[in-house]
Amino acid sequence: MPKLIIDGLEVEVPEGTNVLEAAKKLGIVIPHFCYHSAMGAVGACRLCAMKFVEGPVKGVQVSCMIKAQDGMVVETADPDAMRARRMVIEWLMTNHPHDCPVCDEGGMCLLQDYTIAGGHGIRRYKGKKRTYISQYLGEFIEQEMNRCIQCYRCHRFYRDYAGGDDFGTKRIANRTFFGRFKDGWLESEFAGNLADVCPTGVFTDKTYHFRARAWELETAPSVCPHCSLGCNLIPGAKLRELLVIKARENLKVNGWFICDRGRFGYRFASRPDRPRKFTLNGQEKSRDEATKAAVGIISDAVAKYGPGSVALAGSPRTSLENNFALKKLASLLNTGNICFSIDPLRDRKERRAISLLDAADSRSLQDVAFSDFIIVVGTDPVNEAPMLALMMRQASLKGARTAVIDPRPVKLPFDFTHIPARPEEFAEKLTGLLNEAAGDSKNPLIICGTNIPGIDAIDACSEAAGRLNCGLFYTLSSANSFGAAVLAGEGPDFEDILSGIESGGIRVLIALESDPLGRYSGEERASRALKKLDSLIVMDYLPTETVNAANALFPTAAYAEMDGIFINNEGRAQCFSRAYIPGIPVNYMGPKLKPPELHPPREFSPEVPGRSFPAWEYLGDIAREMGLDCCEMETLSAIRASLSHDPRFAAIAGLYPESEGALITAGPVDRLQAYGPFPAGEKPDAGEGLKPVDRLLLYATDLTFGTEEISVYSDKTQLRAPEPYVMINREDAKELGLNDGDWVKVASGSLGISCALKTSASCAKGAAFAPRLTGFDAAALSGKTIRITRERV
Amino acid sequence: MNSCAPWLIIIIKAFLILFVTLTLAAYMVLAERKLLARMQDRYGPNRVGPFGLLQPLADVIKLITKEDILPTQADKFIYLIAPGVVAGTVLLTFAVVPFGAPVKIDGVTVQMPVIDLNVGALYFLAMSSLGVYGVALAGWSSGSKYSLFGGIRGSAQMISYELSMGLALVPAVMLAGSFSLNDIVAAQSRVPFVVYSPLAFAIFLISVAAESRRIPFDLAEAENELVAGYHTEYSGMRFGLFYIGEYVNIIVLSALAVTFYLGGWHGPGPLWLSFFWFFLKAAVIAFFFIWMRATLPRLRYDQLMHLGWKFLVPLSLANVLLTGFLALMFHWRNV
Amino acid sequence: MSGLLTGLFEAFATTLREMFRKPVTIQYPEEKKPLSARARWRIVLTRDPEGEERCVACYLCSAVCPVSCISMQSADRGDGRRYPEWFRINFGRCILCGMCEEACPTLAIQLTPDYEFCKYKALDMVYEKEDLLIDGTGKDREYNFYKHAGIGVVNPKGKNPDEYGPVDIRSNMP
Ligand code: SF4
Ligand code: SF4
Ligand code: SF4
Ligand code: SF4
Ligand code: FES
Repeated sequence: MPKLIIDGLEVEVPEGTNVLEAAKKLGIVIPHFCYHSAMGAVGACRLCAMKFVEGPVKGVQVSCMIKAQDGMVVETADPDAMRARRMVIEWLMTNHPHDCPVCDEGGMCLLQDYTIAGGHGIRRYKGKKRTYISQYLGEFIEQEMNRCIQCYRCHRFYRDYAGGDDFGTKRIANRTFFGRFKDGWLESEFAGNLADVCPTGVFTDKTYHFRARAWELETAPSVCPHCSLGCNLIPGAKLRELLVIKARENLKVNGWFICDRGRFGYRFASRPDRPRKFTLNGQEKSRDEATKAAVGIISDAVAKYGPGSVALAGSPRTSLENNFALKKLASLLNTGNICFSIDPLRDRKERRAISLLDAADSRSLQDVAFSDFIIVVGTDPVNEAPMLALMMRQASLKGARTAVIDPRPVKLPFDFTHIPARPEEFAEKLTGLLNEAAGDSKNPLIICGTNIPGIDAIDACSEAAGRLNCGLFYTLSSANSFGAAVLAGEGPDFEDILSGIESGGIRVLIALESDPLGRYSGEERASRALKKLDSLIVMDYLPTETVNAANALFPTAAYAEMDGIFINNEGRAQCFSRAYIPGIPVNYMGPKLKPPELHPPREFSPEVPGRSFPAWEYLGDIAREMGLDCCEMETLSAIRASLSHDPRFAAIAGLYPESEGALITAGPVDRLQAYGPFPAGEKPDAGEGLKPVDRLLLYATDLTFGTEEISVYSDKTQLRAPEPYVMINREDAKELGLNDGDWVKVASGSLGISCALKTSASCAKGAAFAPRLTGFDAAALSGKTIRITRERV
Repeated sequence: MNSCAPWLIIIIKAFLILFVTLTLAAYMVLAERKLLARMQDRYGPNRVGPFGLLQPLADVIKLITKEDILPTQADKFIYLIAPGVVAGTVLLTFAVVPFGAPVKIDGVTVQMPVIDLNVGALYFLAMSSLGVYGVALAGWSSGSKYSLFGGIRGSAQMISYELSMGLALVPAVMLAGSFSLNDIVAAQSRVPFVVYSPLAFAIFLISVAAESRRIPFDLAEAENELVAGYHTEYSGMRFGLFYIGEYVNIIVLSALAVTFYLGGWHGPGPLWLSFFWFFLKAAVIAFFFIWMRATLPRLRYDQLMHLGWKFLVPLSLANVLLTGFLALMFHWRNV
Repeated sequence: MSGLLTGLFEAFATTLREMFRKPVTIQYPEEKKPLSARARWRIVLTRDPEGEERCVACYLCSAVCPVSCISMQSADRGDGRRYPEWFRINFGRCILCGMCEEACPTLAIQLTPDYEFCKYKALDMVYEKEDLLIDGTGKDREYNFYKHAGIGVVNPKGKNPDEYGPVDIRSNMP
């Protein structure tokens, strides 16, 4: 550990640390553009100059390129160093356009800051400036190349860190250009990070284009709601409109970056059709009236049919507190009909998975980057948990080998072995792989999905991890799947509730941020069943089908609009805080609603129009109005206190925003029905007398864009959702006489959907895959044997 | 006329005084604003009526039509009566002021004070002590920290200065040999007491200025520290009562200064001119108060207390001794 | 002590003396002060010589305004031009300090010598863009920000006077 002296202060840093980092450790921050903790130093910008007074190197040097060594004495504020920095910044500015007023980076621009810090105020260079024609890079990222200072961060992030290959450096010297070969969408699922890494306004968030300045944004530390990894982010809102998401650093989870689903999926929050009114059978009501009505509905049902006639459906996408309040209400009402997911199969598998995780084998997302042998079982990282792919790439850059056992043609931004296998074969393939390779690796890791693998595969992964002492990492469905599954414990699942409704035992359903009508796999059954209900009480912030069918509707606050906790796939509980008060955005109230008007309304009132509240408040209201003992759901701190009395949740007591999170262990869950990969009672029929290709098994799959429950309500991420398709093995297709691109009918029994056919050589035989896109009911066929026939070429 | 019962005369006098004092107070406000303005090279109010003479009317209308705000934190009952206490005690003091020579109406000699108390001087002290309650209660009941500070400051200040004020009266009482204001005025028919005891007069003036809580002694209000001190939360006519109280107070105190030390209504010329003399003398004192306001900056709180306790009180005690001694030596009056 | 007394005396003498001076007050509606040429009062938004809105909704004026009385919403006009969708100044709050004018990089916001714009209703003091935008260039007749910015709105990229033509990214010739 070398020791050196910077500005008279001694500091000891690990071997290999550069002097810039060493100074940072002392709290001395020297302007720098090209160095980034995640991407290392390249010495491109020359701005981080310091004066080396004693030791192995002497003179003014760029500090990011010099490793700390014993005996170094460094001055950061030496006049020579300052002069060097001032000249560098002046020289970086010679070609810089006169753009700040119309640049989206302005106000959070490192170049602005460091120009001022470098003491360069007045332009001396009177010559002409270099210009570029910028490229169209899709609807996520805006490019304005004139502003580039050639720090190479974009290239290093896109190609080196994220493994994209459709973007890079062109030309040399003063004419260096960063972009694609030709105009078009950036293909990487992590391209949005260019907006964060670029220290200038070359790459900016196009969805935020010309919308606000950084100093106007209301922000708060938050956690991504779009997948189970729980990446940390900072939502920024203005005038009650969510406008931008930035990545937040958490060195236990996402590091510095987030994926594009997390960055651009935010636009659900300010949709014009977002529910903003309390309604009762379509009539607008006040919050009090809605509460009274809901209480009336519940009390009537309890009085007439007993407490068991009320069922409650929580959700893996809402906060732990909301779900807990729901559970509390259920126990106060004395009904056992409560579940926390409307996908019974996934629910069971997730409850099983989290019960198998323990402190010894569970791994954080960052730990993935330090594994040296990764086996992926039945999950498609880029599509199911995008940041996982980025972390696996970091491991791979360090030399890790990766094998993916999955029936789909999985794509990852690095080299790996793909073993196409059907879910039944997972356990066997896993054992095979482990036997041959686990011996010589120090940090092996098994990553297992919960969508395609059956319970047997989930168990096998855990068993193998325990036996071979390797890490275990399950990917779950939603941001709070872990929390929801812990709360669900050994309780019923949605299947049980649905049968209760069908048999007439359940008369009232309270759906908390869950959408059985739109998202239950087998929508027809759900809508038939829900019609039998006396009343449907819905609390949600998305304009879902269930919201439209609600008898009593409570508009709730989304994640950026409230305080709460999500527990990610690893069991890491993380707080998120309220960034802004939810209500109808000011910009939606004037010109957008009443077109002849040219400005937002001029009336003002202390009330926030269309204000919505976190769901736990409504649940507390209902309990209070019913005269139940609601003191444990009265305030957020009461809910958290009461939660932390449960030993499994004890860790959340010390949780605070911007911490690294606290680990929760679920503990064993006993009562698990032995589900195979398919829902009970829907075993694939043996298909006597049919050829294998005439009874392909269909799996509904997830995609980065277009299938996740919340981001499908974001217009921008929907732009990257593909057209509906079904994918099968190329040979199977040949056997069926079908070609890639044919328009086919996919049928099972009376159900059928039409879509394009995709074929792939690396797809497992005997299986078919269709994404769960909105308006494309692939989920209804999930787990069924299907026949594919051509409709037209 | 025998039907003119004494109580009727008292009531008539009381109403006359009430009416005249309130009108005077209103014009006192105008006078002060105009004089202050002139001393600051401005015009002062000059828009309502000729020379702004209707300004007081406009002010009253404004005050009456303004919303009477009751802070949620206030102690309702006390909050509501406090302004009344301030204005009431000040007005009551007028009962004992002889503002002119006795008049004979229909054979009955009508004394000019509403009632001629034989302990008039004590009555004045008592009333001014009661006035403290108005300030203290208003400050306390408003439920605001500024008001509370103002109330505390006001009561501390008034209690402190009451002492020197009382002591400054002693020479006058000694010289007249009576507590009755009528007697005190009568005793000055030839020489006003200010000649015998100028120091007592000076102390009395200073203490009275402090008693009226006006610049340079306005620590209870002190706009730039306490917003408006004890009446921060008041609005409308309740605030108006404090306001009127302050100006009636100036009138009363000027009148009393005249009564105790400047020979009361005595003056050259026929007896009916006595009202004029009284008014003139009082006006001079009132002008002095206004002049003082235009001239002096506010004292600091410690300076205020030092001035009261370490300077005025010992000085007035010494002065009592001195006056007593001199009076004995030179057989002034009936001492 | 004597210092105190002379001090007091001087003070009282001064106020008394001033009382007999002629007041310096200017009786406003009847008498008016001559304004200096650069008097800064009611604010306007100006247009560039080509007649387009100058304001690019950069928010610098609203950021610098010490009483936060400027608000706006920026947007893209569709041709790459950044402009304020709406722009609002609450003159009830404005202290006419001129900081906004100083901060404005496009010379859009300017203070004019019109100071007689009192209103009886507070809401009437809130001016919208429709009320603020004038048809002229105001104090500077020449300036057009987009002729200096690199985003190619008025002139195509690389065609502004202080720019070289765009780099050809497909060639490595110097
Ligand atoms: S990149 Fe920074 S310095 Fe350059 S125009 Fe944008 S805000 Fe200004
Ligand atoms: S585009 Fe941005 S990140 Fe890339 S080199 Fe230029 S300034 Fe650096
Ligand atoms: S003149 Fe001053 S107070 Fe008025 S809008 Fe401009 S910056 Fe704000
Ligand atoms: S500073 Fe100028 S250009 Fe920027 S928003 Fe204000 S008026 Fe518009
Ligand atoms: S940060 Fe050191 S050269 Fe850029």
